[in-house]
Amino acid sequence: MIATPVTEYAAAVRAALADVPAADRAELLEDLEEHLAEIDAESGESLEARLGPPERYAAELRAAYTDVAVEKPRVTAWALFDRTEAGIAEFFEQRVPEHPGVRAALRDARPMWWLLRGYLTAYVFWAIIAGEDRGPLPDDPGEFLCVLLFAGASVWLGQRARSGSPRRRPIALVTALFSAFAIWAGLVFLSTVDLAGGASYYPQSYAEDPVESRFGGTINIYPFKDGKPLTDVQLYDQDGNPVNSPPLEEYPMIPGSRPVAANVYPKPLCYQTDEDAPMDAVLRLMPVCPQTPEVGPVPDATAPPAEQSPSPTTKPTAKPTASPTPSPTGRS
Amino acid sequence: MDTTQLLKGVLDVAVLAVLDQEDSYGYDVVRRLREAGLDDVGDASVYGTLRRLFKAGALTSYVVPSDEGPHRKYYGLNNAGRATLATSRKDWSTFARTMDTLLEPR
Repeated sequence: MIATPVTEYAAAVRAALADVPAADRAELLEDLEEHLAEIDAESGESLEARLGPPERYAAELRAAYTDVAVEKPRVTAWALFDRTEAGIAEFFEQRVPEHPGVRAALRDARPMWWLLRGYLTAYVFWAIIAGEDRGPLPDDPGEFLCVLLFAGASVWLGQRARSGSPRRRPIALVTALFSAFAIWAGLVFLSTVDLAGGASYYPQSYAEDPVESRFGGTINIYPFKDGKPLTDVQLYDQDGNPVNSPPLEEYPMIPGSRPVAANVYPKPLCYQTDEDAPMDAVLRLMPVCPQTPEVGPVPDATAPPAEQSPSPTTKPTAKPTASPTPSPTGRS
Repeated sequence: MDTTQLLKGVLDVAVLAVLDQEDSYGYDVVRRLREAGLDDVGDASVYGTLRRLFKAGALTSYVVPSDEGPHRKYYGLNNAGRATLATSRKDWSTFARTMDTLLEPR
């Protein structure tokens, strides 16, 4: 190849870009010679005079070539994410008052949000792992570690974004998911947490049962008249609906008693254990279940004749069977 | 004010705009940008920008044989390039309006 001003200049430019990866360099310098020849042909001046030293030309080339990437018009998942994030940011930006005090207060409150985000995430995360209702505060080392870990990660992410580190999409995505999860966790937290600090005593399904909520802690009703206990009293509410206390595992039917309609009181229920008897046995009307379980409902000779189906509206709802259910737990 | 600094941010869209008018080769793009008033535009910057936009998939290119000189590599916009230009055009007018308002003498 004959050395011309063009090839000399081009060679110097290539040499100055020797550190650029080969593929990129080939792509960038593909038609450098043709381009330089064009310039050379159009002006009488030397290439150096027109373009400056090749090293500077190379530096300018490098800067222009490695500049911020051109926008890809293809709709990628990332682009969608970017747009969504920007949209949400703008939504809040427009709704927050311009007042500098408000802005400053929000900025100061951010670390609190980071902590809350970590805590809420840890709360749900731990609830999933432990698989039970949790109190609002960590109460074992694993749970504590979990909170610490998530809060730390959350603060790190928040601090990173605030300090103006270059936005990296994977990290931005993690942050966004973190926040979204924490908001969801916050809603879960508000709807399930037992502020008294522990697993709720009754299973969820009972607490949501309107009958159970109407009955509160009442399990059975013992009507009296003139100091004498009444039996087989049917109860109805103001709408004429039978008042049915829900069956509870802890209070089975007295073995051998005959089944009664759900709104007939007192129901033949008994305590399964006598653990707390010394406390309230004096006033207690409900008997303790016999220790030796009898098998099957045995017709009771002393009971008054049964009145079949006391009310047409009462449904024979599911009731604990007369055979004692093996339940390991006591009252508390 | 140093316009080379300003130019850096808008060179992409300037090059796209020139190619949107008419397909063109490297040195012609430089010339047209200078004719349009961007006197400070560097040859290497334009060349590097063209190669980058091409690599990013915003441009098509084809070689046109020339009788009097070397073959010329022409560049033109493809759909991606036109989409980028459309977005940039919108961004620019918003930005320019903002700056105009900001710099308005009171």
